[in-house]
Amino acid sequence: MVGNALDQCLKCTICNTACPVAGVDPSFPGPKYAGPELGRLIRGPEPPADNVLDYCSNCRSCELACPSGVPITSLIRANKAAAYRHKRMPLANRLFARVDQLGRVAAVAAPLSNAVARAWWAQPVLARLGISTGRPLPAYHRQTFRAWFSRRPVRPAPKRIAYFVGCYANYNDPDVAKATVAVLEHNGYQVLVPEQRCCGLPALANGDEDQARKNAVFNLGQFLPLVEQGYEIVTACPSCALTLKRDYPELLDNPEAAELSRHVWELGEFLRRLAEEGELQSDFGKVPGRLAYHLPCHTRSQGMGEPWTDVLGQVPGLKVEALDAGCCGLSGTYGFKAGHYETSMAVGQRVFEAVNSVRPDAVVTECGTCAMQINHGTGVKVVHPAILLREAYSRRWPRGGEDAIRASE
Amino acid sequence: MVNEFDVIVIGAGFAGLSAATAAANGGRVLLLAEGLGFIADLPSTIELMGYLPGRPGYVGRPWDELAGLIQYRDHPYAKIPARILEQSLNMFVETVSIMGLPYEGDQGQNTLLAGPAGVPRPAYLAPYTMAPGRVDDRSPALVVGFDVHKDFYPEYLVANLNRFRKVSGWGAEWRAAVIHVPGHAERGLNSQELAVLMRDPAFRRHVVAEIRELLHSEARVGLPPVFGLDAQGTRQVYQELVDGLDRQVFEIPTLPPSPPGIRLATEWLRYLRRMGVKVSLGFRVKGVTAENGRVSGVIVNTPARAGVHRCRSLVLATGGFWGHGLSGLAAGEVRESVLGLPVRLLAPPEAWGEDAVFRPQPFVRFGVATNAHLQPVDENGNTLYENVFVAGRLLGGYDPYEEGCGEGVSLASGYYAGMLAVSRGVVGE
Repeated sequence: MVGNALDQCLKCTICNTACPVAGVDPSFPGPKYAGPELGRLIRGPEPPADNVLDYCSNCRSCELACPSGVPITSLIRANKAAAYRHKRMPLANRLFARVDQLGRVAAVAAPLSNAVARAWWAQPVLARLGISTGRPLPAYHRQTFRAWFSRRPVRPAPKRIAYFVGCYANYNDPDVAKATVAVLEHNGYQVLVPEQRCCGLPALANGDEDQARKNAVFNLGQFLPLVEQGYEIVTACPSCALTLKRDYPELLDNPEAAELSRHVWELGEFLRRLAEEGELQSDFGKVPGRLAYHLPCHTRSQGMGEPWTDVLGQVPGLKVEALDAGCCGLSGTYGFKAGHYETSMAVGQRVFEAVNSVRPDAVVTECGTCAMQINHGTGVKVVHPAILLREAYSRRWPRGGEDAIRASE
Repeated sequence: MVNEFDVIVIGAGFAGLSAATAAANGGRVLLLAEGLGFIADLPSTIELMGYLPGRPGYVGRPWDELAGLIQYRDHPYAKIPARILEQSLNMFVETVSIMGLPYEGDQGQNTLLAGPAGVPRPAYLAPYTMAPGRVDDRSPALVVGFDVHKDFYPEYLVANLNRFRKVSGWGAEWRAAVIHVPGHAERGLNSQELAVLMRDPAFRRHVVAEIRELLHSEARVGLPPVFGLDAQGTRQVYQELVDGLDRQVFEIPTLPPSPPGIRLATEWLRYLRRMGVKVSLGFRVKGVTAENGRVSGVIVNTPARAGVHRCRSLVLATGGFWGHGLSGLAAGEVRESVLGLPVRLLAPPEAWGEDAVFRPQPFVRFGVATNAHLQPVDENGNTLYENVFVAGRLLGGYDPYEEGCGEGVSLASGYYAGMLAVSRGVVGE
């Protein structure tokens, strides 16, 4: 599906001008080479042995810049997968391709696993594994969101949502997932959390296409029957949303994946549609605050504008200013890898500078890894918009609603 | 939170950005484009009218010579009132100045700047980083390249310039020099990559020190376009070079990627977003909704579900063949990409191209037929959509290369289209 698209490339080089990594590191020849050009070479019997593919962070900025519709990032990922058929995949790639297995293990051992990840004696081990010791690894919660949710009584409601949680919200920041449920329930939805695996994006980005395809097949099997029963699929993670919308049809190349994708909504996108149809609960209490909004690359890649700016604009008291400073540089697992830390921080510099000049009460962004990066780079608190919305609702909610919040904490 | 705009602009080149800038003060504007426009590949100088076809040499005073183009009824300059053309240039000068990338001109005259191969090019306006590089100036210049730079050859450039000087009797003797860049020899670097290196203060000190060694009595130093990728960084590098060398310093454009174009495109889009324009790049417009001769919405090919945006007016600035506003040249069936508008083909297929590559190519003049208000028309001159306005390279009837008028036509038609769109077809005379 992606293969022939390299013929659309005019070699105009516009993609290179938009690449955040090429914008800070002159040793990366850029997406034009790593995608469409390497795409030709790599089909030969002896694929080139250079490591340019490792530079790509999978942010998809190049694709949005391409005036000729070349799926450059998809080509780069296909090249990565092809390259790893000839050479051994680095250990860090194999680990990061399996963030949900990692999460399951780390959650069981939490908080001990968090302490170990921070311990001085663990740092050389992490370095040997190819993991950067420059930044803290995300902390794990002993009680994952899905474990919490499964013990919670069902709250029947007429309208129904199947919630795709995503690894980050499930293992590392369950409160985002709890807030998502609270906001959806407040809008009259019964939330179902089916059995699910990692969306597969970390595997794709790390060159493990087979692992990604396995995850996609599993998730398709879980969610498609619900779509057929009239459920819409909502996720509060822009990268998961993009993967289900864009990568599943590309990866699986079947009509089922295309059908699934038509019913996937990023939470902000879903709420904005409710608002457009006059169905969003607007009983917001006042949430005073001056926030700076960071637009994640993977929200931009869905071509839906800035849904959260529109939705948060309805909350009284909240002032949201756009940072408009581009990619944060972390790009999922990319900035956690040894050798990428400096690049990742250099890319993020513009975002950090923008935050420091705005001096907001907090930064708001819907992407969990962008949040980690911005907090690491600035020390400023970063909050998911669903948490703000739950807060706004809680300040007006009748008694039953307040219980719901307390139960979620 | 209704997804409805006064004006939707399709296209992010000079014409699209100009249209969005013009419309931004008058209403809600959405800018859609399949990608970043080609500005990032261009030298970023503004050509208004550089040549008159059939007459050798350059045009010195474009305002006095425009009549030579306006005599052709289909030429965009024949449709755009002179007052609008002037306003569009003023708007551009004001806008880039707010963005921190001021442009300079010479009181309505063209200036001659060096092209990548040392062939002088007439420019009406040039960014402050290029304006001191006039080749019709009496002061000698040293042109400095980097040994790892793949796309810039100072000796070749200077040899051509000096040949021009001998023929024309203008200008002064230029001299070439190359400085060493440690590392990067294996692959070589392009202008964008060198601009990234220039962010490093230690590298800038190295560059200044090397050039100081090479300087004789030259009053000016020309470099490839590597000062920076945004307004702030460029200003800092420029100032450091001027202070460190105690000379005038200028950039000479070269092959893509073009940092002067990158900074113009980046800052202009940022400016538009600050003005409240919604910008969505990356997705092809796959069609429109239309009723009674009016376009009511634009359908965008976004992942999972097509995005639909409603609009009162539409500016079509999708470009020519290179920008995919027109397609089908090779197949012999030229079509306009978004609305399927009729394209005025000025020759039979066997005469579309000229064998000598550097001769004017007939297909370059192909474009969508419009009336004087830039509305698309059919073969009989009837307006096809009364709320659609066509701008930029999609317009036919001109040759930006032969006439040296590419940015001028795009800025002016974009501005005019933006004004017409936001005022729904009425711009007061």
